[in-house]
Amino acid sequence: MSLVSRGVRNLFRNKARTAVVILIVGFAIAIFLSASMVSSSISTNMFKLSASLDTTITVRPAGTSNFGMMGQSQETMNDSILSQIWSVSHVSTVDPVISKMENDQSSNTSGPGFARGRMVQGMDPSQPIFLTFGGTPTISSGRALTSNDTRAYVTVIGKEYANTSGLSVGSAISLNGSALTVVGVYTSGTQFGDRTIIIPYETAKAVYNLTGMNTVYVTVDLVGSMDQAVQDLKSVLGSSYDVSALSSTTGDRAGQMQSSIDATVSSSNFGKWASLLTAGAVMAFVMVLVIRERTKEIGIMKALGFKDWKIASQLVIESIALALIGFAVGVIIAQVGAPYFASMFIGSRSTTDTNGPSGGLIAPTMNFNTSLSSGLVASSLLLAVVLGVVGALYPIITALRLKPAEALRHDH
Amino acid sequence: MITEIRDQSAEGAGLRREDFAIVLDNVKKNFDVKGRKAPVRALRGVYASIERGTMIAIKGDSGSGKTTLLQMMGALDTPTSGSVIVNGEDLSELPEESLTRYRAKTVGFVFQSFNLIPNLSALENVELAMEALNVPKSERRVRAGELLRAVGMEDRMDHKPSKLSGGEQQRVAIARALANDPSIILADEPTGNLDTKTGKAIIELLRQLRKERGKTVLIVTHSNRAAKACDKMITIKDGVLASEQTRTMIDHDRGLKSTMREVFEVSGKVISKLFDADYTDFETIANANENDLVRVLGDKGLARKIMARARTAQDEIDAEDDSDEDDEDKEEGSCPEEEGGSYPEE
Repeated sequence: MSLVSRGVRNLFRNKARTAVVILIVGFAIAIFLSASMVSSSISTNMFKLSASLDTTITVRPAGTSNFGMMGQSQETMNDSILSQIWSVSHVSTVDPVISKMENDQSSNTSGPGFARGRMVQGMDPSQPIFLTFGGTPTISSGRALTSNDTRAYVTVIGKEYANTSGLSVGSAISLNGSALTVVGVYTSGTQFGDRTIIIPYETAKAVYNLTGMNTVYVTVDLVGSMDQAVQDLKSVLGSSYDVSALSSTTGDRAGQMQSSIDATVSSSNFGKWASLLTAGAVMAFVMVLVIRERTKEIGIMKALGFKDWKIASQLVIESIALALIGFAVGVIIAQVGAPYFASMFIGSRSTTDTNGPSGGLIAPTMNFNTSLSSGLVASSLLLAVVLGVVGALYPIITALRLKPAEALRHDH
Repeated sequence: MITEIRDQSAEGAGLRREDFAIVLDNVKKNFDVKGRKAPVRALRGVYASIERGTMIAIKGDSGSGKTTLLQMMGALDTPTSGSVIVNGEDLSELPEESLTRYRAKTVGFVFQSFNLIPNLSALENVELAMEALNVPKSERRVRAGELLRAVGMEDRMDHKPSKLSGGEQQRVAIARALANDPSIILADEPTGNLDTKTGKAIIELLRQLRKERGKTVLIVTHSNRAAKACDKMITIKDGVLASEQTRTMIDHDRGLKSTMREVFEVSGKVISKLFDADYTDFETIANANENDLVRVLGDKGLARKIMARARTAQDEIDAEDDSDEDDEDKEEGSCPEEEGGSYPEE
């Protein structure tokens, strides 16, 4: 009979105790798995939420507006500021933009002054069109700007502006004395948004003889990191710049959501580590009991000439086998009871917070995935093995230190 | 007494320690006990030489140190000082790994409480001992079967210890002790948990091992019957060797005890009390202090009766001795005193 089979067989010497321990360890591992699933779901959903919410922060020279008013000179920021912005954590994109409001003398529109104006926006041509007036632009004819257009004298114009100015793809327009070719027309669904002329950032610098941008649009990776990112940018850039979230509503909602998420994450993390600690403590306690009961047997094995490492291996195998069975039971419990365990961490919060400031943001907004990922199963399997080894280590070392005669005298 | 025993040890007999199975040289063992400042001195300096192929009984009262001594010989514990030399090797000089191998290969243990692993069958228990020496599984199984057959357990090989009687468990333990063919068998009270008949059978089995396989067998025992089956009996008292008796001496004692039982008309238990208190002949008992004897026996009437009968018996022995001397004188035909002569000068 091998060490392994003897170790496994020893598990069933006290069936009732083994069953209780397996259930306790199983439940602990199930809670660990469920809490991990909740944490993981929150992370996934946070990215989804971040993508769906506006997480843009604007940076401008202090005291300036969004764009230069018609014909007015406007302060700009040097390109060197971009590396400072990139140094702030959670920053995922940095888009320098040159905005100019011009009076369009060629336009045949009537109405208030702003309706006759045209907005020129210099931006990174490799990025999708971003309108400071809002709206979601889509190309209706021609093409969008590309990275090949970095210094090209080309433009994509809004449909409203194209219509009122009689322009189309292939037409030429003049900006500050420079001629640019229209390569595309977009529509955004808003009248004001559709009066914008989009040109490459470097071209805008050349056309208007500027050294840098007048606005930087910064996006952060997580909606919950907005406040922190704004604070960090203010701190890095100093008082010469205005830093603000583009949408104050987003910031508020993000803050509320973050506090709710923080509470959920901390409760699931607490559950995770508490369950792990419980499983570890139970394993260690049981192994202390088992080895106390078997000290005499350890003495017998020593008297028979077994090496210490062989005796220790048998006991560690027994402990690992116990942990692995507990793990298997835990996986089954977690698979069956995941929704219930998940509600332990998030359900109560979504209920109690429904009428509160966070408005039950988490549960209704997030779609929790309660199926076990193979990565999570593998990591908890490893954890179970570690639990088995660590739980058995101290009592085994204590028992092996005894001389054979001392161990033989031991009666539990 | 220690000096006498020492004189009989290896050095005293002019033999090398390699000539003996086991040599104990001033073995001392102290135990620290919680709540006591001074350690308990379990062995206070034991000298002994044990010849190969002999069966030795180690007797003594509870707590006298006999089990501790056996554990020293089996490397289950280490002496506080002194040497245990087995087949010429001093155990105290061996590294732990060699001691582990020594326990597996050189000695086989038989315990009073059998010490079988409860969830293993008889066969698996015997195999276990061979696993310590990495004997291949198939070989282990065959040998374990042979050993169990040799101890009469062929029909009970697959039974767990809880399904075996005490005697059967002890047979399995003996088979396990023989698993790695050790030269020395150390048995600690092997009959202690067995009835008289089964105990006798186990002792007979151990005797066979000595006789047929040439094993050196050491038995710690309280049982006189077990001790009498041995070639030699050493007695430990208060951590030292108090006496050593050869088989002839044991037989002599046995005869004497039997005579005393007849003369005093008392039980063997009373005789044992007298022997334990060193009242081992009629003359000593006849001349004993009555109060001392009462203390030993715990019965004044019995003490007086025994003393009276001892005096009578001793008188008869003396008379017989005188008559024998007269006869011898007559046979020799010359008595210097009667003839007015004198003893020849040496």
